[in-house]
Amino acid sequence: MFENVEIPVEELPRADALEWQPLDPAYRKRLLVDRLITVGFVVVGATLVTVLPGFEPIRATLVFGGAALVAAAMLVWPFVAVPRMGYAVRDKDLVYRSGVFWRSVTAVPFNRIQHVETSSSPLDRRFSLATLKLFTAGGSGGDLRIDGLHSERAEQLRALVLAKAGASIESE
Amino acid sequence: MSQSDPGQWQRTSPLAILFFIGGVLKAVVKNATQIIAPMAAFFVAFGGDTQTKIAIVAIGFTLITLTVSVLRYLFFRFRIAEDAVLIREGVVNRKQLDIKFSRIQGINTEQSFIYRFFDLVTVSFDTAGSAGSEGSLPAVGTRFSDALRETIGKVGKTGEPTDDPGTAPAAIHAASPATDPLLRLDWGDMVRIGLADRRAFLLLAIAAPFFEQLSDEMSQAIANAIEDVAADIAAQGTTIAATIFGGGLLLIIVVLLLGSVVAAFLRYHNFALYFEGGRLRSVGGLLTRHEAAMEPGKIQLARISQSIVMRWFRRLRIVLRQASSRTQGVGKSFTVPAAPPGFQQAFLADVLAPEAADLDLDLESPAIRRVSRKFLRPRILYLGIVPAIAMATLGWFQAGAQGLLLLLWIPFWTLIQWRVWRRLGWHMSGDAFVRRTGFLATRLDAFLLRKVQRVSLSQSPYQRRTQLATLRFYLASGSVRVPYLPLGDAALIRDYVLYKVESSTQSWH
Repeated sequence: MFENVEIPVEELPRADALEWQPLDPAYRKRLLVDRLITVGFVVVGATLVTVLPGFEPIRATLVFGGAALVAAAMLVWPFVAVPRMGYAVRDKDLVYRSGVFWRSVTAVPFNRIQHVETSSSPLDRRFSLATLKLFTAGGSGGDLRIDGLHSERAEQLRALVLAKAGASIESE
Repeated sequence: MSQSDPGQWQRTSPLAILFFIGGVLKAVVKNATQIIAPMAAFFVAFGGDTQTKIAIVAIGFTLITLTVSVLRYLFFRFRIAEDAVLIREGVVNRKQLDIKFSRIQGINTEQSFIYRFFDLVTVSFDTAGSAGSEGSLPAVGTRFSDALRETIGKVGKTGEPTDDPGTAPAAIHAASPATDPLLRLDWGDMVRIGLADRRAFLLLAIAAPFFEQLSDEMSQAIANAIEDVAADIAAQGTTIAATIFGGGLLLIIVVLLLGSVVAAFLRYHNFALYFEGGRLRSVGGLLTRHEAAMEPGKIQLARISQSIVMRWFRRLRIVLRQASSRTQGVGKSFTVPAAPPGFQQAFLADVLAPEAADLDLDLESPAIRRVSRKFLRPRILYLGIVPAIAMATLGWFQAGAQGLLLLLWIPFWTLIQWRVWRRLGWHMSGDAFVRRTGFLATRLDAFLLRKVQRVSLSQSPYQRRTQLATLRFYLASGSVRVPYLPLGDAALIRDYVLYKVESSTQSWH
């Protein structure tokens, strides 16, 4: 028999009062190594500029000062950004939050997931990390991507999401 | 992926290397600008004649392309499980794709000239508009691809959209005379559609290349004639020159508008909209008869729009959008080019979504709620006041007091933003949501809550201070963003939409 039970809005499950799971602690180190490589290039670039003929010491100070500021911001950023990233798995969806200044919380219902992908770069593999990507239908915007998961956790999540997505298809 | 799955991991034919070479070449073309710099550096830095340099580059490029393609082939494996196609690929970045049969909307096959000799095809899977990646199996046998199509067809839904002009099934053609149309457009509507089409002015740009095909002599003759006329005009004074220039401009506009009206007749003459056998069907066209068909269940978003010209004519335009995907590009859509006001409400209730009949689709509905007025502040400050003051300061130094005229940008921009804010609004019923946007034109984007694919709630630092948030609904045909909602409302709407999606037992496509 068809039922259409009214749900009081105050009893709706809330997607912001969640226990957020942090990303793997190694993700910060991985980002730091990545940034150090970039900073290395910045320093080499800044040094090369200073050996150009006719280069004045005052300019060298400005160039190195600017490079040092950029480098400091890049190296500090993982310590600020990573703790603000997190995910939560609920019975019917996966919720992901990110952002330091511009913060966002995205919820992907399992019954809308098209397929799941895990990937890892050589640097990720060095730290036993992997990225989980959830694809929903539609060409707009990026699909949900969670970087910095431990590779085992990424596999567990992939299996869980696939099972949940499959169960929702069967119940449709 | 279960262990009991019968399929084994396997490679495709070695001819798949051709597919990967194609992929490498595409990547090279896509990143051409990044490749030009090192090439230029090589040509400048390396001694020797140009021929040697070109030979080195060609050999190097061929070797790299072949090596990458062979490696990608060697690392590519696929497996057909009980309910999914599994693909492992990637040399440096390894990837595994799991494409469930039930999610596959369409299976496309492509046979290149070389593959034809070996009875091979490249199979690609269309998973209802995933933006990132649908998988492909390069260089598999045609018998294998047929068997795969059959297997997937049994498990999943492989219905091809039929809204391409001229591809409606024969059964629909046969049924057409028996049904009364929901809407029929007459010649007056053709004129309205033509006059309201802003693309009329784009015709000029499209027609421009044809002018280049005029022969040199003809171009010379025209140039001489213009010179003669110009000399006469110069002799007779500027008033006549202005009159002729204005007249010429008017003539161009009239010709363009006439062209646009003719285009409307060609595309929509005798346009009729039917609802029969659970499908929407439109017929129209003067020389070529265009037919389009769409199942209402496939519609992801309905856009009702009214330009200024259409408002004068008391007509609106309805576009129904289907899921889009990377392979299809822009999602397929079904267009009703002109309809009288009020038609959209009956259309929604009777055809599109009877469950959402209580959603008010009036462009000026009093039910539409505005977003917070704080929407205006960052826009006016960062795109109005700050650049205007900066430009006026520069202008002051360059041109003196006249530079201050640039400050007029502030009231001008503020008025534009005020109008944008006044048109921006939203309204929702128990099952559907509508957002209104516009500046001169007005647009309503309406969708059923159960069609939503994912939802995000975001806040800028300013929004966090003022307890506001931006809500974005991702649909299979694009996204709908509602900025500057009160945080509590935004969170409640988000939670309610998730509840509707997750408790829905109806398919979204």
